[in-house]
Amino acid sequence: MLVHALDAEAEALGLRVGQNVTDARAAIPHLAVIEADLDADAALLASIADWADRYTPLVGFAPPDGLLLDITGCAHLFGGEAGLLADLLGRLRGLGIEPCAAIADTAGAAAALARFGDGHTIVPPGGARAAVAPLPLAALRLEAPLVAALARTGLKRVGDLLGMPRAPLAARFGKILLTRLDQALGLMDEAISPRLPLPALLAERRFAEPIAGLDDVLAATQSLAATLGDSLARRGEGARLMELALFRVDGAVSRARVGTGRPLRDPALMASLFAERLGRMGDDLDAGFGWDLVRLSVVESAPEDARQIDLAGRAAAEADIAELVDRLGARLGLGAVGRLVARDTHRPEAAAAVRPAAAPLAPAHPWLDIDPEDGPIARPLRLFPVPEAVEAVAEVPDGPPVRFRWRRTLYAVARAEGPERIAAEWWRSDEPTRDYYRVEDETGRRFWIFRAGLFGLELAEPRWFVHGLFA
Amino acid sequence: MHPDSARAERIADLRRQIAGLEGRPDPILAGRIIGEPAGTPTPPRNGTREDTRAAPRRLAFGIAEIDAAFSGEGGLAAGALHHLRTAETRGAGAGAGFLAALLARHAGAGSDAVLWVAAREARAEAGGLYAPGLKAFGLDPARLLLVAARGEADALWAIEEGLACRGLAGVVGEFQGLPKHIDLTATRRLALRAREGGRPVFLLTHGGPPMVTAAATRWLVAPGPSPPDPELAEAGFDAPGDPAWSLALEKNRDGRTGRWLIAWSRHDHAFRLAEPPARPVAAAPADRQARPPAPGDGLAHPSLGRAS
Repeated sequence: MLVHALDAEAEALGLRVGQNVTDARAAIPHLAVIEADLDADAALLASIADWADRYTPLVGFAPPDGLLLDITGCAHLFGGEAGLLADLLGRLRGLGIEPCAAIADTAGAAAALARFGDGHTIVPPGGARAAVAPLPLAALRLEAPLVAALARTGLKRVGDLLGMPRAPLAARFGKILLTRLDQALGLMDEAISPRLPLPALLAERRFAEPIAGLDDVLAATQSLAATLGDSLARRGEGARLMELALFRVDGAVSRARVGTGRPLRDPALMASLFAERLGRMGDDLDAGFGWDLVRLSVVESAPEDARQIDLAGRAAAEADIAELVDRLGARLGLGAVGRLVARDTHRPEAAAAVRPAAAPLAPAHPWLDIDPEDGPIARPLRLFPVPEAVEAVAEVPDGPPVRFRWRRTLYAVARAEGPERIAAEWWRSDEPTRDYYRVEDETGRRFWIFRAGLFGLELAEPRWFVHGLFA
Repeated sequence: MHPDSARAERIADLRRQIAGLEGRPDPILAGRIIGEPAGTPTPPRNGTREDTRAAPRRLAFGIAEIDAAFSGEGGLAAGALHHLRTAETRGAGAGAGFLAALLARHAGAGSDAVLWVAAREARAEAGGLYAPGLKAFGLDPARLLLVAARGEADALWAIEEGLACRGLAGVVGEFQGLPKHIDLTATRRLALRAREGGRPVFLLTHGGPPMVTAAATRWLVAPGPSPPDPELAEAGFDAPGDPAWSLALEKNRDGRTGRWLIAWSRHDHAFRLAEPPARPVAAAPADRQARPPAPGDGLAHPSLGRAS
């Protein structure tokens, strides 16, 4: 067993990470040892990353225990870089965490200084080279064997590398050494991969006094939506997917997403969609001691189509319906609001599907054409998604059912028509052929009932199913 | 104050509140207690845009005998709540078919979209709407906006939202059995919204007993023996013909009640009166319960199997 992490007191006693636990115990007999819980560490880091979202939307992981925040253009909101760093460190300490942080031109330099600096370094622009030079080579995010190999040749600090010819270094220690060095010095770009997709637009509001009421949140949402609406209007776009993030004082972040059927920029509508969504969240939305930051972001946007109002008012009606779809979808989920679409197959249960109404219109497949001249309506009005097995008495090999028992009730067939033979597509050859009958019982109930399997050819004992109800 | 007069005052106050909810004139001021609305529909709420179309005031059946049961002999009032129930879940096809036929006959002018809200239990027990069947009824499946609600409360909310939407031609709410949330208060709200918008709302319940609702009409819809198809009969086939229903108008606040046997013509998409079948039919009385409703009625697999 090795030491995975130490608190400040243990560190002061001279223990090291990576040391054998037995050695540590031998040195400090009253040492308290707690088994490392890596999953909990990862969860904690993720929740801190969530919390760090309040400083910038671009937060990435720096394994194993760090976070990289791209604060380009964000620092002025906190009174400059020093103010941001003080705010971040102060809040994290308030949460019971002992943070080390650094601000630098490059992710590499910031990561090096955060781990090996004094814990609150701010490197002035262009000062990365001077700042990282005195640091040990491990600060360059190199693997331990590589650091050891460098140490054997007498290279211990970053500054030792700076004057060296590059080609022999790369030849001997691999390309990664120069890559890391260049990243730290800003000679090579390094992209931070964000944890969360970056929103197209966002607006946020901070509260000196945390808010806890849903009404306050909604009022804030509406004013943020107005800001976003203006920006969207300038871009000629509307929001398709929006996210409301509520940052709680104690670090927890609640997020609510709302999708819309068509690009939306009306602030009142946006706010009403979130009112539905938040109302739906109910107890999941725990205000705790209040939220001190509310952020509304447009995750996806789309060009807003200019609509013309025709004389019949059909466009107005369509806009009303689109609004209704969004409102229903915000509360029930966009998947719960659908339209019927035809599909190109003969299998009855697959011939019609329900597609989310908010999805963009796709070219529609024409419906199965049922000509009234061909006889009585050949398709039921209600279909069971899974055909229900029945016990049926029928003439062999291919007569219609005479009696059948469905849902514990016996029905005597008075009239029947069929069969209409429907076979599955050839690539589903393991599904038996179905012979469908329209049957009517003595009181006029009409069923769509089928025999699965051709008698003696496909199945020795064909089975019967009720698949639908006629009007 | 005399206790009786205090009570009378309280009752009068409650009546006034109810009248307010239903949009009727104040019963005390009007000098009567019971009164059907003379109501001209009030403009719909959220009236930010000019409503450019007028919803039809009546949904006529096209059968003189049925239309005559309503005031003005015009058929169902458009801006009202109508309750259609089927006594058995296996009759759900008949209930949905009758409603689909009615909707197919009455496409709205500006928009003909219909919001069809189905509670989860209804979808599970009675099956989903099948588009090719709707199409054959003359109801374009593209007109329907389907809402799959998880619970009754969600379904009720979705219906109310639909009634506030001016782009719809009507709203249908489908429930299984005896829905807990559909009570007098809830249906009053729906009826009021329907009247405000001038658009009909249909409550479709499967396999439940009659409920106390604020509906303008309540229908018991049962499948009826279909009239033989002349062409098939000529060819010697005894096949089921056009859809037919046995209708019982159990409650009608807008006229009288009645019972009819009607069929649907697939050629001209119209209702017609059907001849009672020549052969004897043993049907349960349609207008009353053969036995009091028991728990589990209307479910596919009640714990106690029904003997038959």
